[in-house]
Amino acid sequence: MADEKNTQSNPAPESGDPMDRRHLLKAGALGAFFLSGFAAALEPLRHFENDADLEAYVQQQYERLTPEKLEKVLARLEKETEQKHGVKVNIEDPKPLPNVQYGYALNIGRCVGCRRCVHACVEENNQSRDPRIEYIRVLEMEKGTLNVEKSDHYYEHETVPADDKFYMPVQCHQCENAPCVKACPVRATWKEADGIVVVDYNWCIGCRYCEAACPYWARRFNFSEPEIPKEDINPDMGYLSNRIRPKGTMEKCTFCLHRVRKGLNPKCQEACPTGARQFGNMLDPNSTIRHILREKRVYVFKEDAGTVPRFFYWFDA
Amino acid sequence: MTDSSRISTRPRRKTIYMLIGAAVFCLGVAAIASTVAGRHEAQPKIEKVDFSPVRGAVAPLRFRTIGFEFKCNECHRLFQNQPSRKQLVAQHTNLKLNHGSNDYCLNCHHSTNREAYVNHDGSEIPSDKPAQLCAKCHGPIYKDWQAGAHGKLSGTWNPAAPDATRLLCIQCHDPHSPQFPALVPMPGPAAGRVHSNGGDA
Repeated sequence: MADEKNTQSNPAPESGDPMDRRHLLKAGALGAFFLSGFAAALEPLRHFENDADLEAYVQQQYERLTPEKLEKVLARLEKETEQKHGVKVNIEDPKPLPNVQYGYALNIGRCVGCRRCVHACVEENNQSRDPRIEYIRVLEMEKGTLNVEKSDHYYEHETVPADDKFYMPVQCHQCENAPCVKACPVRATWKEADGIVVVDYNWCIGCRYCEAACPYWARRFNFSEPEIPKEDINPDMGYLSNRIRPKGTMEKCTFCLHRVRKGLNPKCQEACPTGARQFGNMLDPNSTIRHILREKRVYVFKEDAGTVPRFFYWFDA
Repeated sequence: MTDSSRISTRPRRKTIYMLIGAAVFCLGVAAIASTVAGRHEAQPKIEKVDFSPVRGAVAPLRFRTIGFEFKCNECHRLFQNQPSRKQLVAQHTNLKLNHGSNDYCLNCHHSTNREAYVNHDGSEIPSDKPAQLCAKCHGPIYKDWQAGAHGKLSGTWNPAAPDATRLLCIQCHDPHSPQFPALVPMPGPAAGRVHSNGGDA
């Protein structure tokens, strides 16, 4: 009797029974929660204006792109850049040359700190001008110490070199044992066959782990959409190097990959008025870089970090 | 009494809170607006990089004055050699000699053909090959220059490529005063330029 009464006043839900109000509310709230989550996940789709946006959204990582897909990506990026910046550009993807391992040598005794390399690099590589991104930092060193903590890269003088100073430009060292590559959680950055460490700007998620991992402060982050005056855009672009980066991605020196894979020198090397910068193929016994590695006093920066750079500093007798 | 006074203060307090809230809101908007406005201040224009060598293109040996250009031998075939050292005469007093102990014109210039340089054995070195002249004294530097380690390999990183060029000694060094000149540095990553709103890097 008592049992019967109980079931009548509080009917236990059984499969097949119509829902009471509480369960309906619960289910409804849960449903609304998941629906809103789903909607939020699809939110980027709302901003798609054409098929190209969708293609960009579903684009594969660079190394998984087939040649045909890559062609399409390059064409799409060219179109995007023209729409966004009003400049007709040519985006190519030169591949590593066979039997070439790039190396860079910088004569610490010749550099006078004129910063032409810094600005030639910006002109070549389409870095954002506002906020200004520069790959090369020229450290002004105190005479008597090699401690970079005591250096200054904001120096301004009438003429250089300043008395009792020497200069040490630092940029990406394209390390053999690159900490930035290891730090990337999505393989948006890797080492190419010719030794250049590159970034797939479309695959980068902008976590900045690589920036934190680099002991040379060689990586830069696009905190905002890059601003470049139209007339300053260099239209000869490479997919893995100097094409205009999207907001929220990392970028870095690529030894001017789009130039060096065509046999040209990096732009910083061409700009140097003192001949402090030399570049070449470390596999060619007649190259400048091999001459320097063979004949000169050569060292690497932060050797104890174990990064094995292919950017060398050297000095004369 | 107490009830009525409580009722009368309530709206006043509310108004004060509202006023404070409005003030805070206005300040916030002003702060955001000023940062946004600051962001779009024009960046100081940075000049384009000059890629030319510090002494420009090398012309053949000539005497140049107020727009005229003479071949050296046009005058020098009329004169005797000057055996005196370190004495710049007549048209050449504008030259600054600061080449260490090398202070004798005919150490470098050919005594009978002034459009050429002179080698150790008295033979001529053509004026478009100044590196051969400099190599007379600066052997190790010459060796480095040939390898691309002094000066640089321009145009390409491949020394075997046909367009590989090396700057000549006198494109960077004034042969009469060969010390490399001081340069005007390009602007540094000063705080005001990294972010145009004045923030640091």
